[in-house]
Amino acid sequence: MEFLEFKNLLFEKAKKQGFSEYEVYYSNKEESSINVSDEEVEGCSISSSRGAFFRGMIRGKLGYGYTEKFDEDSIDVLLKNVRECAEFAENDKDEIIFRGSDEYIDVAIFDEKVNTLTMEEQVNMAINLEKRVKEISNEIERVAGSVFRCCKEEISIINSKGLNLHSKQSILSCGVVPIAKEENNMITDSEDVRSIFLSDINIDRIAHNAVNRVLSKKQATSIRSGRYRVLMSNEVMGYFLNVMKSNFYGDLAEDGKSLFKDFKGRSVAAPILDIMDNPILGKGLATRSFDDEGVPTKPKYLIKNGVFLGFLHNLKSSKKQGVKTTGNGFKGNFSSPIKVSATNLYIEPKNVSFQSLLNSMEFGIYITDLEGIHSGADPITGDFSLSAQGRIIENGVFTRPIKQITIAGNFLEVLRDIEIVGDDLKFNPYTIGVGSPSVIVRELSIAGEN
Amino acid sequence: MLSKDIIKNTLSAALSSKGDFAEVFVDDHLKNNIVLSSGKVESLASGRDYGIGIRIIKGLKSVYAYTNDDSLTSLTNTAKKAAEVLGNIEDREDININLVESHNVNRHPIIFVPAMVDTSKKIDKMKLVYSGAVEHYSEISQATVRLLEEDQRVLIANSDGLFTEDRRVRSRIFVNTIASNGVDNQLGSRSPGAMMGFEFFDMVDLEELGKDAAESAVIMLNADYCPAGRIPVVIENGFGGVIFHEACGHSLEATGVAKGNSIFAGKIGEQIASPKVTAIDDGTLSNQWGSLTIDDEGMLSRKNVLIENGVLKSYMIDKLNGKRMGMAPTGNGRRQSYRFAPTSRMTNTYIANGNDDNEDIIRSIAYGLYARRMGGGSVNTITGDFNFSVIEGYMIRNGSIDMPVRGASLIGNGIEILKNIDMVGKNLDYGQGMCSSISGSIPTNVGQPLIRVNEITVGGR
Repeated sequence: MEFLEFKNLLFEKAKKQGFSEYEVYYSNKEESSINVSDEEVEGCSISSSRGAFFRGMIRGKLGYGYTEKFDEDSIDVLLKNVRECAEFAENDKDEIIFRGSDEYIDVAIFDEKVNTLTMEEQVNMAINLEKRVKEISNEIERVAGSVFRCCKEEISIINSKGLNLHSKQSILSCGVVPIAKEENNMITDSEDVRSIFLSDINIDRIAHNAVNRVLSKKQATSIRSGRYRVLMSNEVMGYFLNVMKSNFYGDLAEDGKSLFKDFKGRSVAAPILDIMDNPILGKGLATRSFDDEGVPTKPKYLIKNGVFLGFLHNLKSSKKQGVKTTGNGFKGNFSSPIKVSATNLYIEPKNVSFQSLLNSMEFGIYITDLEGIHSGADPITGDFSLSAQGRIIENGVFTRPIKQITIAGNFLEVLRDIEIVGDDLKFNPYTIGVGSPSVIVRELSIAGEN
Repeated sequence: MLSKDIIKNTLSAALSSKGDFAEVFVDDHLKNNIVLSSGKVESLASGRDYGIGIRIIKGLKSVYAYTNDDSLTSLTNTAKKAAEVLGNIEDREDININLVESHNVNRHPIIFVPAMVDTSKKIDKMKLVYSGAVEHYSEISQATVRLLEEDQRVLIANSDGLFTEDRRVRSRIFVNTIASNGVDNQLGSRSPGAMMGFEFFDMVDLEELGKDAAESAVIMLNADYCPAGRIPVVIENGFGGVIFHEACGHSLEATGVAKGNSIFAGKIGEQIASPKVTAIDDGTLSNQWGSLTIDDEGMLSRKNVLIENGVLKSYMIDKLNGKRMGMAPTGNGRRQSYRFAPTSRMTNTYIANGNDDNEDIIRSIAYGLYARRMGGGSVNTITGDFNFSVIEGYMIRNGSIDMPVRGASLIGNGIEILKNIDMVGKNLDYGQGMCSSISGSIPTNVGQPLIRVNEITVGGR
C-alpha cells in the first residue's frame, strides 16, 4: 500500500474508534553502502525501508505504536496496540499534538546529485580512495578498507489538527583506514567525511588526511603521569561535547539527570565560552526546518559568556516546566517516541588561529584521539577517564607523538577551565551535528608511565 | 508468508548477473516492551518490523539488499539493483530454481503466544517483581521493571532450492534497582529470559527475582573497594560464562577466523586450553534464550563441541565463511533482522561441567577473589585482550568467602585465560544476554559451572 492510501485508511479507522486527535510520522529511507578491500568491492548493501509511527489521544490519554508493514491488517493491529498503550500507561497527560505554525525557515538539506549518483560511481570513489592512499606514501603498508555510503530520507508528519509537513535529506559519507607498520606493531587511524553535499567529498583530501593521521603517530611513546596544560583538538572536543550534551536536555533535567539543574542564569563555564544549538546552520548535518513534533526550529544559545541560559525542550518537557518549547523534540529513530535532542550543537569559534593557540603553549599536550568514550564517560556525574593519544607541544611546536595515556576529569571542571577558544570550528563526522573549535584547557590529569 | 512464485522470481532476478548463490530472508517481527517505573506503568511500546533481505554471492564477494515493500515489482527491482553491483545483468534462460518446501519440527514449543495474553496479566507479573525489589530493603531508592516480548516469523529461501519457515517467540524480564545511602548509589539487576511465551513468567519466582536484585545492590553499597593484583579468581556459574563468550567465543566464529583475524585461526587439533575445559555451542537446547530450530540461513541448529578436554575441535561457521575456509557450515548463521546479512554467531555457548566439587574450589584458595556476578566488558578479537567489570565480588581468605568488594575489573588475554582454568565445578547454569557484532544484536546464552582461574590481573584501587 502506498503511504497516502495507508494514512487515509489509518486516520479513518482511528476516528471511528474514538481517537480525538492523532498523528502519523512517516519515514522513507534509501541507503547504499560499499565496502572496498584490496581495490575490489568486498561487500555492498542496498536498502529501501519505510516505517510509520502513530500516536493518538483516546479518552484523554495518549498511546503510540509503529509498523513497517503497510496493509489493512497492520493498521488494525497497530490501532489495537495503541489503544492498549493508552489504556495502561499511567504517564501524565502532558503529551501534545501540534497544529502547526507559519514560521518555518527554509533549509537546504538535500543534494539533487544523489538522485543520479550510480552504484558504479560510488564503487569507483571507494576504490580510488584506497588507490590514492597507497600512491601518496609507500610507508602505508596496506589499507584495511575504504567505505562509501549514501543515504536519502524523506519524512512526513501529518495529523488531525491540520499539520502536514514534509522534508527530504541526503547524507553522504566516505572514509578509509590505512595501516602502517613499525617494528613490532601496526599503526592505524581512520579519516571519515560526512556531508549533505556530494561536492564536499574530496577523495584526494581524504586520502592525504588519512595518511597524515597515521604517519604522525609513528614512534609514539607514553608520557609521565601528571597534570598538564591541554590543547584539545576540534574533533576531540566535539566528540567529548557529544557525550555530555544530554546535560542540556530539559526532559532529563526533570528526572534529575542533568548537571545544570537549577543553574539557569548562573555561571557554569569560563566567560569566554558560548555554546549554541543551531538547527538552521548551513550544511549542518542536523539541520532541520521543523522538529519531529512539527514545531518550527530556531537557533538558541545554551551558554553565553559562560552563563547557562536554559535547557532544550520539546512540547511535553516545556509544558512541565512552564516554558515554551525550543523546537528540540526529536526521535532517535522513526519507531521511538519523542524525546529532547540537540541539533547542531557547538562551541562558538573565536578569532584565534591554530598557530596562536600553539604559541600560547609553553609545554603541554595536544589531544588528537579519545577512546572508550561510551563506557569511560558518564554524562550524569560528568566524570570521565578515557584512553587518549596526541602530541607534546613545546614552545609552540609539536615534538613527539604520545600514546597509551588516559585523561581524566569532570565535564563541569573542563568548562570552567577553558582558557582560549580557537577559530577552527569542525563538526566531527561521527557525531551528527556536534562540533567545536580547538580549545586550550588550563589543566587535566593525565596518566601514563610512572 | 510470501508465495513460492514471488520468491522464485526474486531469486532468478538476483542471479541475473551470474551470481552463484542467492537467498531471500523474509522477516516479520512483532515486539512489545512494557516499562514499570517506580511502580507505575511508564510506557507500553509495541511495533511491527517487517522486511525482506536479499543476498547474492559470486565467488567470495557478496551483495546485500533489503526493502519493506513485498510486491513482486519491488523485490525483483531490488534484486536486480543488487545483482548489478556484481556484474552486467543478462537475460538468463538457464536459471531454473526448484523450491522444495521443508518443514522443521519446532524444537521450542510455545504455550502462550504474547498477543493472546491480556496486558493486565503482564503488568500484574511485573508488579510482583517490583514489590520483591522494594519491600525488603530500606536502602532501595528506585526500581524499574521491563518486560520484553518478541514474536518473529521468518521465511528463508535460496537458489539451492531451500524454502522453509520458522517462528521464534521470546520473553524476558529485566529488573534494575538502585540502593542509596545518601552519598553513593549502587545498581543491582537481574534479567532472565527464554525462547518461551508468557508461560516463562510462571516459571520464574518473580518476587524472589526482585528481592535478589535489591540484595545485590545493598551488599555492594556497603562494600569496600577491591584491591588490585594478580590473584586466583573463582567465577560463579551462569552469567560468569560471559568471560568465555567474549574472551574466546568471538574468536571461534568464522567471521574472524576465515580472514585470519583471530587468535585461534589455524589451530584445529591443538591443545589451546587446560584439559579441564570442554566448551560447547549448542543451538538445540530446548526453549533456551539463545536457541534456534533453524539458523537464519535455514540450516538446522546443532550442538557443536568447540573445545574438548582442551583441544580445539571446531569453529562456528556460516555458509559464506565456510566457502572461504573450505569447511562445512555448522548452523550458526545468524542476523538481527532483515537489515543484516548473516554471519557466524554464537547460540548457547558454555563451559561444560567438570569433576571438581564447588566447595573444594573455594577451599583451594588462600587469598583470591570470588566473582559472583559479572558485568559488561570488551574484547579485541585480533589480539585477544579483554577487560570486564565484576558487579558483585567477594574476597576469599583461607578457603572461605569473606567480605564483599566493589569496583573490581578483570583484564587478560583469551589465550592465557583458557590455559589458566584449572578447576571446573558441577553446577552448570546459563545467563541471558544480547550479543552485538557485524550482523547486529542477537539473543545468546552464556554459561558455565563454578570455575577457578589460577591467576588473573584484577584491577582495583
